Amino acid sequence: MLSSLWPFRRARAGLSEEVAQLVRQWRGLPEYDQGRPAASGRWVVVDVESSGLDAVNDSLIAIGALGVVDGAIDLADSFEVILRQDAPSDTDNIEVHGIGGTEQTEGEDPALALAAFLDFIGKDPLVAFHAPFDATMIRRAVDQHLGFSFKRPWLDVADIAPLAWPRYASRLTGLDDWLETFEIPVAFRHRAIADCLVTAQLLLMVLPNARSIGAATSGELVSLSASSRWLSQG
Amino acid sequence: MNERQPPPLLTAATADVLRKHAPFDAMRKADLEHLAAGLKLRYFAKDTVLLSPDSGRIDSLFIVQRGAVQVEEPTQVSLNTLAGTLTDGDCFPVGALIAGRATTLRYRALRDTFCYVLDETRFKEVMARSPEFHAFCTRRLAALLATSRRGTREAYSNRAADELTMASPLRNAIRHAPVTLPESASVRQVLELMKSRRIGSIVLTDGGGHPTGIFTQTDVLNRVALAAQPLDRPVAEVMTRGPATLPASTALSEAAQLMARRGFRHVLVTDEDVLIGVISERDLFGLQRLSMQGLRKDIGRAESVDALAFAAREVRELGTAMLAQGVAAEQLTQFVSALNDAVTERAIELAMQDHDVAGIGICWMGLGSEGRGEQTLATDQDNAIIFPDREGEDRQATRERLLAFADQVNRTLDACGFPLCKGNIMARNPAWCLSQAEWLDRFDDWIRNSDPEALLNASIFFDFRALHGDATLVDRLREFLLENVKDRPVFLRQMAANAAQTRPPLGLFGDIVGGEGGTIDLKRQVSRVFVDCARILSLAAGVGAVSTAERLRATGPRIRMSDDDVATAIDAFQFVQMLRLRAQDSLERGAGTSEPNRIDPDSLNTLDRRILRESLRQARKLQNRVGLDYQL
Repeated sequence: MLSSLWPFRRARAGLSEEVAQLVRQWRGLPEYDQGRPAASGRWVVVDVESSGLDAVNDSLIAIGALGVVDGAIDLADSFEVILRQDAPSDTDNIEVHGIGGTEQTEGEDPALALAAFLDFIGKDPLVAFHAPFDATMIRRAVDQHLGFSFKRPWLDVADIAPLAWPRYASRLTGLDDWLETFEIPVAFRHRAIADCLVTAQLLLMVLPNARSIGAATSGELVSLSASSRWLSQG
Repeated sequence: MNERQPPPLLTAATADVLRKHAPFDAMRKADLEHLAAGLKLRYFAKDTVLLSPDSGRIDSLFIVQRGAVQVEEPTQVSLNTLAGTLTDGDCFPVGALIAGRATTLRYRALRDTFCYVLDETRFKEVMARSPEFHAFCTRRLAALLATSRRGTREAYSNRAADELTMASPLRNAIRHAPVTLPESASVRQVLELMKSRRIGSIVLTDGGGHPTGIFTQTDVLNRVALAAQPLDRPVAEVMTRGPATLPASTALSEAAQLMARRGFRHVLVTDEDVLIGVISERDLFGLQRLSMQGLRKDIGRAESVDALAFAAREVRELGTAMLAQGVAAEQLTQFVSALNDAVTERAIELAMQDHDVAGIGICWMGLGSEGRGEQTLATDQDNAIIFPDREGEDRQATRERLLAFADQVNRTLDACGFPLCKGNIMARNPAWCLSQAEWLDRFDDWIRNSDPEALLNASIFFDFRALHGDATLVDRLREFLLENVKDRPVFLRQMAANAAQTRPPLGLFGDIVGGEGGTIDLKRQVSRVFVDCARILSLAAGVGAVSTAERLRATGPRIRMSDDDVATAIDAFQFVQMLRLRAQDSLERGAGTSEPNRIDPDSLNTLDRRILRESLRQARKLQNRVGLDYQL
């Protein structure tokens, strides 16, 4: 076995074999093809729920992820997990994401949850609205529970949408603004997977326009996203 | 790609989106969620072609999540942007998917559009487990018709603006809970309650709370104020007893017909025998310029041919307005027939003022399309008289008296927009003003001698209905016909052979084949096939119904036609009737061809042309069925 070569910065004594196996597999996957056309291949839309809006101090409660493959959202290609919390977040916070105290304390073992997340996303590029927040939350959690530095290319729809529709750029800022403008129906907001679904619909609308904003390939599209410059060095 | 299931929340939310539309609203939750869990969501920018014949074999179902998709014939640039548009909840291309072939049409996004996509495997699973979804996908005609009707409504939307369609149940038109009082209440109490609640009618009940009568604003004027009745009398003495009552599931159109036919202004609505509201004529036609009940009254009160002709013209206008609302053809023609019946009745009453024939005890019969209750807006008159045989009475003398009377009725009807019959099938013709015994002889003769003339007559006279007078005379005629015709297989076979001579204008490859100038005659080449086949099938089965739809409905179960097949055949027939109505309407407005029943299929929008093609196939199917029965 080559496990001694895995560059875990901190050895995690508690890492189960199942988790270690998933992480190993994930690290062995080839990087996505940056030269493929932007509208083809798989993107993974990600959204997180946390105990607050402080990316540095609040904790990660849930992750949702949804695959967009060859320009289609595949509802079955989706992922949702709640990470077990030592103590539930406060009531105001629960009202935001609707994940109750018991759900939080009876959630998945965080290491296993994160490993399963890695298994789901593979090495495909990630997508989020206001990606730095999601990226930071996940990076911190992986660092804490899996013990390595998680760095992936992120496409931030909040950066790309104004490029694709410049005439809206000055007026629209939040996700809700864009959803309203494009009449994207929102069944329930602030559940991670539901936010993935609406963000994914924005992505579907962006992809056919990628070439016209100067991004013929997925790699170029990721590069266009400002946030990618400091998030995707890994 | 993977066998994962979406999170329940995602599935449930997607199912909720679908559940706003047919057929998903009727599916069981588990089936719908199985469908939802297999969906993909795709985006198509404005003007993108989603599917075309070049896409090859179809392996997925598309469901519009939001947006609009234009259906086009690939050979032409379609100018029809209204009908032929698929919107939220619509499915396509079902026919091609089931058949596993390429689509013959092109689907283009009219604006930015999101579609759910269901792969073939999951589609078949859902078909297999959900009878509702299965029925929807296999009964394409019904689904297409629903889309077409919506198109009709949109196309006419400037001419009529009533959100409540005539197909909605009465339940939806109820505006408030019923207000009731015991019938022992005084008129004063009733009036005070009407004033304080600002309502136009009050339902009166007996000791057990059952409705026994209704008292309305009009009654205040006629039965209390003008009749100078004291206000302390019990309302039971001035109310209308036994008000018309209909179940809440009744279609508005049906209630409208009842009101038109019987001259009611209010109908009580019950749900499982509990009174849940009162529907007034104004509720039904609140926004409509023409009042149906007023029209019914105008007809009944017309004291001159001119007044009657004016009212008859308004009937046609109201028919047009209902056409614009997307009222189904069956209800519309029934409704027009009901008002036309009233016109005929009044024409008879007027003629009776000038001719002393009331004592003879005749019955005036409607024949052909009038007999079937399938009149369109431009219909010749077909009618006849039956009179009783009385001992010691000279039939010839009776006939002489009746002919002068009938001539006046026929001329009045002509003035009212029902042209004299070119074939002279009218009551003023001595050949069709017969005693009951003479009619029985005539029927017997036709059934026995199936020569061409007898067959032609049978096709008109066997669709008879009492319009005015003693209906029992006509009932006996029908009994006789049903008893005797089934013992005459030769006659029925001849009728079938006759009906087989008109072939629906379908080409070898299922295309519509136009005759002169590319046009087809909807009446002769299409409607007649349905009408003839329904007549033959029902007579052979001993069914007494007269309208084509009723004949098929009543006969289907006896001859092992499935409910779906019956419903599809009726849908097809009604669609053709609707096209005829529309063609006649545009003719009246100076936009159509000179022949009311001729249309150019190319002038139809893509969707309607497809439905017409399917309707022609249904006509041929019915004809083949009759052909098989009689081994033609």
